[in-house]
Amino acid sequence: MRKIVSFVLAMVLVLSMCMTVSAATIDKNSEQTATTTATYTKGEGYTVTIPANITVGGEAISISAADVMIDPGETLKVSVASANSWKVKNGEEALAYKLNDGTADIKADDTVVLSVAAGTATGSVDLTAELDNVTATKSGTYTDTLTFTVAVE
Amino acid sequence: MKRVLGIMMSLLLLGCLFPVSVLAAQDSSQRESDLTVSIVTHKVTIACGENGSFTVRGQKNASSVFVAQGSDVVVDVSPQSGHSMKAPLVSGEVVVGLEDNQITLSNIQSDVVLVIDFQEGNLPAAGGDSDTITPGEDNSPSGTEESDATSTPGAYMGIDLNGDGQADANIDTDGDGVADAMLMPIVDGKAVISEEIMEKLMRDVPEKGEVVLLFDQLEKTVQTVELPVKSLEKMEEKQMSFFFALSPMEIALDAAAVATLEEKAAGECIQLKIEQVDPSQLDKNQQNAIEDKELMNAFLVTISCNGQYIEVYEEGMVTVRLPFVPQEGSSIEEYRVLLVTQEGPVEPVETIYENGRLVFTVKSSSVYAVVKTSAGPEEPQPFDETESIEYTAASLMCPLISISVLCVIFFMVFRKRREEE
Repeated sequence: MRKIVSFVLAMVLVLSMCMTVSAATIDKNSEQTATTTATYTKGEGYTVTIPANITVGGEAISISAADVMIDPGETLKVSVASANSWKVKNGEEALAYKLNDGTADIKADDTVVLSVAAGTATGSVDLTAELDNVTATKSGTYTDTLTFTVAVE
Repeated sequence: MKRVLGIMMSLLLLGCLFPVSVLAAQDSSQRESDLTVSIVTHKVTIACGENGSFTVRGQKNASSVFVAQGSDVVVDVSPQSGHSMKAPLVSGEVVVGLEDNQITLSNIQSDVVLVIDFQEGNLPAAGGDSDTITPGEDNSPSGTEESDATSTPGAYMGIDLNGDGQADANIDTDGDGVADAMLMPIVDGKAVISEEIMEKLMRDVPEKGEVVLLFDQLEKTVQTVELPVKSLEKMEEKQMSFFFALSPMEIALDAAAVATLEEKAAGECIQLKIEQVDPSQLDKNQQNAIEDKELMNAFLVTISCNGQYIEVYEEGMVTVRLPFVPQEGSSIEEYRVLLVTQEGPVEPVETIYENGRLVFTVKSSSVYAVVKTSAGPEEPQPFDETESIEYTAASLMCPLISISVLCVIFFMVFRKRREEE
């Protein structure tokens, strides 16, 4: 009986370690990218890659989804929201900006920038950031934070 | 025992399942990740001299614009008729393209100052139709454009911070390998030296050393230098002296003068001024005092703080060196430097002539006049080229007494001979 109990305990411990590893989610320390990984216990999941930085007026960044395995009828959606109401700020100075996905400007919170339907393994969108028709009145660094939300609906 | 084992197993199972359930809960709802949006902007300041104008492409009436890092600015320059653009002065981390009358600032990586100036004639601003100018290097065009053209004063100046005797337009002041010129505005002939610039100037000057400011090679005349008193305090601590090369004079303050200046300054900054005085501006008393002497030049030398003169000349020594060339056909011995007081009286100033300059010590904040005297027995002895001579009564009486004694001796000898005959 003790052997059986010990074996069960050992198995439980081993399994718990596996679960902990698979629960690693966003690696913000990696260079310029953050990877969101989720794994369902029943074997379904997805990997969404969101870069850590974008420069206004600079090169496009790519938001991508890979290894998408979700239930039929569901859709993986990546939406975006701005912390500063779509303005980059330097102290009190604020400059309005917008994202562009190549087809339309994005400057409203909770706008879905990427959708991947069930049955599709990957998806991506390239985003650029551009200032609205405004000019700065002082030199320095202006910033905003965009929060990307990944959801399966 | 079995119960204990059962409880332990249950706890372990719960503990193991907990992260999975949280993960599942997350997966079934939402996960978030943040992204930083940023833009770095830099200021591009453009100063333009007379005889021309400029426009920043895409901007209206802008003398300064703020642009994103890495972006470009195109400046269209329009010289007036009969003038052309000189090689522009640029500070900052930027690539400068020059084509005809168009300056392109590309890949801007720092704040940039662009100084545009003009010259008479239709000479090219640089050695070709298109040139790339590198800040920190001499971008002057080769050839004789500078020497033959009558230059128009620019709006900005540079100072010699690296001690090579040249006014620096583009230099690396912070040692980061990037040119970051110390450009400062000159308004009405006044250069305002900030504490920051003074710090850089004093950085490599040893204790009891000399801080040097050279303004004499600039296109724009600098007559007044404004200095922060706080910097003078630091100079006093290190017993530093000061040397300015203005236009056209040089002026030196020894350490004692600097210390006195700092002690007596009742304000945040002092102004050292050497202003050329139009003879017609001298009042009647002063003109009468000069009498029949021909006035060659007159300068007002002052040191002040908040409009109040500061007299440092007893405690310390303030020396002026004025370039001077005697008129054709006359010698340096015919010229004098006179202190002309406000009330009129003149006082000869001890002067030496050294390396083409009249060198004298300033006795007070006053007008100093260079005059040409008419040679005559009553005129004081002229200064020679190597040392000064004091014109005292004793020095004039000595020859008279000697001649008198000789006459008496001659008379006595003559009388004795006649008596013998």
